Amino acid sequence: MFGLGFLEVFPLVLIFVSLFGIITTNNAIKTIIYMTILNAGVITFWIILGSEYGTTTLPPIMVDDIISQTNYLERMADPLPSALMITAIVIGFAVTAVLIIILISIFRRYRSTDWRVIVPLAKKDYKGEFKPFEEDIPATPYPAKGKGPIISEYIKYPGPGLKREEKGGVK
Amino acid sequence: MLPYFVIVPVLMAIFLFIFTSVKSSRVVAIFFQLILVGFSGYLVYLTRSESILEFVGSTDNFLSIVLYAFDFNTILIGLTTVLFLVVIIYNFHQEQGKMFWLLLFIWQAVLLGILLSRDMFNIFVMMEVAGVVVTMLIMTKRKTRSIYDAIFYLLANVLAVQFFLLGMAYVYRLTGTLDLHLIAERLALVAQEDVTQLYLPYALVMTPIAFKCAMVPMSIWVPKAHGSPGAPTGVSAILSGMYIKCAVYLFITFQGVFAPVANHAFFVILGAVTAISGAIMAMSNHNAKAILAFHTVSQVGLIIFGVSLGMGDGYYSDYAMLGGLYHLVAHALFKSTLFLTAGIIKRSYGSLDAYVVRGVLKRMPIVGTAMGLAILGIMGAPFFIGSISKYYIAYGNDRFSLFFWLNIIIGLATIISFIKYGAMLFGKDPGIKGEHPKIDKPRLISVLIWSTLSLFGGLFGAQFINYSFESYVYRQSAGYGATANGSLLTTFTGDYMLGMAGYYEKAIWWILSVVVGYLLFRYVVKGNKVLKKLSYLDMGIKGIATCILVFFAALLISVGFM
Repeated sequence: MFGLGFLEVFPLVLIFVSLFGIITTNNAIKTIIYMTILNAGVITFWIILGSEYGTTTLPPIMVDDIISQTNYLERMADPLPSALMITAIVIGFAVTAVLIIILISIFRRYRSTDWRVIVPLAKKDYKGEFKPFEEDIPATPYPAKGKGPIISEYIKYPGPGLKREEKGGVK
Repeated sequence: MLPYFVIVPVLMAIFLFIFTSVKSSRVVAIFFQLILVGFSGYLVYLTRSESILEFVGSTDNFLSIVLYAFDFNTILIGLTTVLFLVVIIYNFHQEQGKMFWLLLFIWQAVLLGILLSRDMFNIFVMMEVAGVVVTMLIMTKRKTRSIYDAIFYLLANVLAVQFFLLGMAYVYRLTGTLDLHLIAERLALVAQEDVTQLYLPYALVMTPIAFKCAMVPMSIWVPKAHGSPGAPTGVSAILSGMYIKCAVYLFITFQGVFAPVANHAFFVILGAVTAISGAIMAMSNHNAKAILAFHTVSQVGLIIFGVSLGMGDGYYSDYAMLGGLYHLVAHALFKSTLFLTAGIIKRSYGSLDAYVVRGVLKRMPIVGTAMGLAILGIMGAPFFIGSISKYYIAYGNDRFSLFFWLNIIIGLATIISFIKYGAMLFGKDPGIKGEHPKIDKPRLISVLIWSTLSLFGGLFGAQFINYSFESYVYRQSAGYGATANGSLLTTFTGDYMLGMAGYYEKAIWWILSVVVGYLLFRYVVKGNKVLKKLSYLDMGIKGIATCILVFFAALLISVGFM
């Protein structure tokens, strides 16, 4: 189908799985994870493009070991996709870092990583009805003076924060 | 010369980042920006006679990054540099911090890079970087709702751009190159053998571009990004003025590259739907920034409508294409003016509610006049900038055809949504005061520059179109990458100055639309409960991901069947 080779099916499976995940998950952290899987799938697809001879593909380096093999020029991998994908990987890394930074800000403001909580609170915020939480979460993940590690603070507010309403946080 | 358009803004960004606290550093920035504006003007002049091609990194077409300046993209480059100059002047006194200036100038470099680049991977990189930069500019005030807007925008953007990367892989597989001209040549050869091979890459590449053009159903990110309350006004002005136009530029480019399979009818219909739905959403809101943001959706829909009408084969119409391209410039002018004046109103009144703010004309006469000019322009009043572009789009079709009526409906929807916005100019001053009731001079100057430009764009519209787009539209009809540069189409000449009879007819249509629009606004739109429910529409990241997939599937199916 669409002229796909055998190997190219695997990255497409990755892509479809991640798209399914993005559409179904309620957890913002998982959304970001699925996004990186999607990126990885696309990058793998590119890399496989450059090596149509499968496992017998040779690296594009002119050394004696490789030159001595039969049909070495034809069997060499296309170096351009690898060169381009290095850039794509770096960009993907940077984007993921920015996404996580924003997610930390979101968590500080809305105290949840669940889209079902974040979206209604953002709507309230838009209308000016949202009251920011008074107590502040420490900025660093390292133990502050006389306090335990912040990681436990995060665990206190579990992902699907739907029970927040019972605690009186959200009104 | 071309690489300096990308390098100089980056150097300026670093310079301003280091010397932000020194106030004279901004004078230096304005000076350099003026030089950039001068060079882009020179580039516009040069490309009237022949296009400029420069290879960066190597002299080979395959290995180097190709920068390409031709008669269409240099106009956009000029517009970008002038808009950034205006925004720098606008923010002259504002203490935005180091990051603001760094990001602003890098953004300019990236935008100029998108416009100049003829390499597909380069465009991908620029799109990604622009996404991150815009996100960080939106969330300048981190302790507001802007952070939600930022994560929504970035996630949706990253998802859409992955489609572009995948589509590029398919294109590379089919053609073995990433240079757009070579791709266009080779795809034509591939299409001669088996045209079905192009369906999937076409749908994959066009989906993210349509996302960036804010087509229905993916347009929900625009009010979040452009109308985010925490985002600086200058950023909103550039987002609506120029950034979305870069997406339209990419749209036109890639429709040309994929000419054998390009589905123009699909985008004509979708453009009209986008235009009408954007205007309806604009009617439902009463926050000035949200109205303007939804209105951007509507106007970009109109541009896509005109451009697609122009590029289609069966109903080829050069006038619609010219109208679409000129509306691109016109919208950049009046929408930026409106955003900048909205920023001043917010500082003066402390509110942006279109039902609360009244009497702008009395409190701030110059700002009010600039805003009034822009509103008349956007409504398409006779002798204003919007009227000429809308005239070309409407009369590029057969008189009283379906497209003509669609155009009238879009104009009517625009007028209704702007009657509410225009009411802010008049009435009794509510007496509320914001943090900075006094207007600082740089802001006033910047608004004045920009609104004067939009006024002159209306008065000398026909000449401007003649100078800037005629040769490009001629080459478009000859096919992507045709090298017949400078051969101005003679059949248009003389037809360009709108005949007075046509103008009277247009004026009558406009007055009729205003009357009907006012009546509709007074008795149907105002206080409508259904519209009120629409005013805050949020489908979440899952919803927008579904929308992108639905759009992709619809485009793929439509290409297969049409």
